[in-house]
Amino acid sequence: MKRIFLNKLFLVSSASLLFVYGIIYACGGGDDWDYFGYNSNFTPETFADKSYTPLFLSGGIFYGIDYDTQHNSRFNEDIKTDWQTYLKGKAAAATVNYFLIGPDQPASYEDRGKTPENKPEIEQLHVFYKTKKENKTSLKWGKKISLKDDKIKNFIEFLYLAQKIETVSIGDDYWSYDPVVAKTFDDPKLIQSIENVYNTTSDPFLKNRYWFLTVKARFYSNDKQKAVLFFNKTEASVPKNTLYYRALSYVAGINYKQKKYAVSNYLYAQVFDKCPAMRVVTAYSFHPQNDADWNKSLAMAKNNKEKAALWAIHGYYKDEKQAIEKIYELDPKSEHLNYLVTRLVNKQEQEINNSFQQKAEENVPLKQQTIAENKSENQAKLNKSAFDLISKISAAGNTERPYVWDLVLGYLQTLKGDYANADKNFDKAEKILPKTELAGYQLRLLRFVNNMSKIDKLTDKNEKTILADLNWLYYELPKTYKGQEFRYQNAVSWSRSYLSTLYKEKGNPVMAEIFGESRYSYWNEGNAFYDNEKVLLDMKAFLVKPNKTEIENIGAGVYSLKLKDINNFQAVQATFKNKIPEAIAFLQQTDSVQYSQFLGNPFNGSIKDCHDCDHVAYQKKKYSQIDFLTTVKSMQDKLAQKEDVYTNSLLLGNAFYNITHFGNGRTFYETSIVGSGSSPYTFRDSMKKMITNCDIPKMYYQKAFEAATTKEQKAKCIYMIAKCERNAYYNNKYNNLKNWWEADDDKINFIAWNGFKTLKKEYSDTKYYQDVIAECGYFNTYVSQ
Amino acid sequence: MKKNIIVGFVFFLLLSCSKKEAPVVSFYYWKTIFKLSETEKEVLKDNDVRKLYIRYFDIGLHPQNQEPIPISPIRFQENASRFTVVPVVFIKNKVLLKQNLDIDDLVEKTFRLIAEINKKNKMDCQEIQIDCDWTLSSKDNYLKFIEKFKKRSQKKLSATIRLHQVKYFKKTKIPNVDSGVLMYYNMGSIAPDSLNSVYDSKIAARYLKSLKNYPLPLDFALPVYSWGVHIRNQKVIGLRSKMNVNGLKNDKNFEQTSAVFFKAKHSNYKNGIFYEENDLLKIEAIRAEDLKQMGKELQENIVQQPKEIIFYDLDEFNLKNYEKNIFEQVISCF
Repeated sequence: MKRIFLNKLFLVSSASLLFVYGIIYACGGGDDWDYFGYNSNFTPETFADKSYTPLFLSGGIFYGIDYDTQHNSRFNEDIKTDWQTYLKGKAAAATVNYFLIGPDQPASYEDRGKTPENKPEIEQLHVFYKTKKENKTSLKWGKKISLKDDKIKNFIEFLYLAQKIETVSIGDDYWSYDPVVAKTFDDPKLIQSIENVYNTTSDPFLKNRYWFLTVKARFYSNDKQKAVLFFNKTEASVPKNTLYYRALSYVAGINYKQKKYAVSNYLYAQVFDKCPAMRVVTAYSFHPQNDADWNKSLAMAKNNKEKAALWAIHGYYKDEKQAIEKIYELDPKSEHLNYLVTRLVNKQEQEINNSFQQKAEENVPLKQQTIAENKSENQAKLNKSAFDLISKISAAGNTERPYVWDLVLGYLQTLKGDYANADKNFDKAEKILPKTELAGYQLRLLRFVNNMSKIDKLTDKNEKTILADLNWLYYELPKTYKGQEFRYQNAVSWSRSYLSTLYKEKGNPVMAEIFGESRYSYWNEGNAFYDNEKVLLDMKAFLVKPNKTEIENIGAGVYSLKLKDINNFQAVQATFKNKIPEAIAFLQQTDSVQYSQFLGNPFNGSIKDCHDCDHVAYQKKKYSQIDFLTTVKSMQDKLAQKEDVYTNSLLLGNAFYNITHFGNGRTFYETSIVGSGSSPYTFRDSMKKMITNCDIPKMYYQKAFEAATTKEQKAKCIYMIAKCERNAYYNNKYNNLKNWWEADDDKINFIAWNGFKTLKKEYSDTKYYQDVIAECGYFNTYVSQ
Repeated sequence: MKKNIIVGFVFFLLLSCSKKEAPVVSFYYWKTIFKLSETEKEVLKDNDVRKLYIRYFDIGLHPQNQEPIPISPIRFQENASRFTVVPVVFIKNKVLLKQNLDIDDLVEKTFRLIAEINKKNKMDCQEIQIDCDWTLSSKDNYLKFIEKFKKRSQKKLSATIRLHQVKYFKKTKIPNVDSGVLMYYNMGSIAPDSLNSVYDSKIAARYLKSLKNYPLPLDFALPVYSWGVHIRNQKVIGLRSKMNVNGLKNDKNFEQTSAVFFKAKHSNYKNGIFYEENDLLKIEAIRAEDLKQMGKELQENIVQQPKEIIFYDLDEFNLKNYEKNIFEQVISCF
């Protein structure tokens, strides 16, 4: 069964990666070794050419793409353009593309095993040329293109030979198996015929392509050394274009396979240097085994440029600083320096603690830092020798892009705490900065980080130095910036933490919360700030204050909670404290929240706690939150008048039961301040206690029991009380649990609550008792023991 | 005559009672190309090894489309059919954590790839082993996979079992396989500290008592590998396989700073890996005494005799660290 996937991957540069391709996935999984986080203010795209992008510092193998995504398609566009030019006037671009790549429509997943139709057609046209007998394909294409034309014939015959080699050079069906490590192309006659065309053709375009095809065919043959010999013999006469460097990387790959690592790495470095399109491939393939290989490669370099190329690719591998130092000595104008310095800065940034929190020990909560503590921690992490190197290069100003070095130096000075000199270097860079959006943004961001860092204590005066930039970061960029590259999110979160810390030091908890709110907690455990009633009231006062200062306005705008959220929280708290009039008053100040409806009837009391069942059950009346509270209120009023005590007590019991975690009305408490989640253990302790406590419903059920007049009524109350007892037992059992794994080991899996005992002893003759047995397996287990 | 038969019978009884059947030695083969060195062949012969557990492929996720794909399938450059070969498939946990995983499809593809590898290498197998460090969140998918794979393959199926899965089997559940292999290694966390993550008798002690309650028959896999934990700035940045203390002692680019720690004196390349100045390598290795201790403590805590002790992994580099008769010594503990 052949399941090889050829479509779209027709033109291939399997390059020399062939030998190490397995590894790219093995490492690419990254599983547990990915430490890279986006705590960066430094956008590498500002500084280096596009061809270096995958080589920027990244947690995966390649930045932005993770792994080599273009392995089979890297040169498709080049090849299309080349042939279109060659066949100009002879065949339409679409026709050329069809023969090169295949039908335009991407093959469906089911069709991926099928050979695209252009391939057999090329085969048939070749047969036509060979036998001079028309066939179906020649008749079809003869109407569209002049098959007799030399150039068309050359094109088809070239493709015919090229696609023979592809049968070994590509394969993308991962679930098929080849018993050999690498397939080889063993048809010496065919290879020779390719070489013969190279030798005889006088057309330079074709000659160049047959030359490449010869190297490629020999590369995939079982006598790879012949590829090297052919290359060495002919390379002098070949133009130094992309095809040349692709061929050179085949030669590098063969040397790698032959364990001639020094030669292989030397050649890869030259391809890296001269052929931007292959930077990803060569950076991945470059692979010195030990120091001796590396030094030998260096010794092979014929001039400073070649040596610099080796350091450039080595710098991707590791130790950017050393690479910059060496390249700068060899060739200060080398453009490789640009990408290396972005790696150096991004790496330095990874060390920075932007959180204003300090990890003390395992299992000890994070310690809050002061501004001063945070700065001294970060300044200690600055790499001194890298700093000195950048200073030197910036001062000399003799690189290809001097502004890069001025900006980098300025940024490092910010990190070092030398804000005045940072300003000077930013000024210096500004004068020679390219007029691109990204460069302008980058400079503004670095200046902002510097200005913000200058502030140790907030004053009216220094506040003014950051206001415009805060507006820019928090409000303008999210709306106006459409690109992907610019890294400003870190400055957003960092500046908020910074301001929060400043306000904390000032003794202003409200503003500290305004800027320090952590909104994106995974578990949504709500916001513990509001557990303290005093600051809650202060926050409300702040939010309604009419004449806020500008920074207060900025803060209030980014703060995710609004007045209505706090009122809602207060309404929930008051309800759980059974202060219903108070709760109603708060809920009335929550805009639309008060009208949101319960999913089930909150006054129903079921035998089983199944909120989904209650939600789908028929509900004659849908209760909104405010309806709910006012109904509770009127029942309480009636109860106070001793009116219909049994029914009102029972319904109140149900109402208060349903708004706990165990009931059908969890949406009542699930808010941004309380938190949300299907397990009570995702809530913070204060809230967990509130939503799992069943004392109030139990109290009402007790009242109902006392007022009950029939045995059926009593049985029902007893059972409801048992549910509350059950919940209390498990709350108590699991709330203080430290180790989940051990939770079941006490072997207790059944408890007979007092309610159960009473129900069995005194009410086994009721209908309700039979209902409970039918619905509640737990109780059934108890009685049938 | 009659008497003789009785004597013979009694003798036979005595024999079968006094001599427990010792487990046999087998190995995991965990390289991507199957080719045995002379040393490896010798060890296999000396220990009369008949069965090899060969890693056929891993299953991971394609980095781009996140579909399950096999990674680095085995290639045979030497015939393995003189051994009873058990193909082992390592499934990365993240595959089973994938949303909407098509388990039937994965079962079919896995089974077919094993069959294809066997067919193309003219091999056959009676048993297949699945290796997966499944967790509570991937448990359901894993158990389903095993269930369906067993049905599809119609072969004996075994699975690797981690220590915590033995202790907490009520939570992690037991895959529906014919037997399990307890991986008696990788106990600790791979960390910059000075502890050995491969084997730690203190950690082992926390789990050993649970062995008696585990319902699945178990064989044991014991470690004979060593590796280097590559540490930079107190962070583990990678594992370097096939590394031992002696090798590093002879490397001028490194200096030994304690029994297990080596420091890079200056930036250098070693076996294709780049070490920055002051990087640390922590060697985690298993000594012969450790192996015997493992055998002893396992024996003390089992109810059912294992049929096999499988050593991980068969590689000349690992074998050189031990005396020739080490495997015999370890199985004699049982």
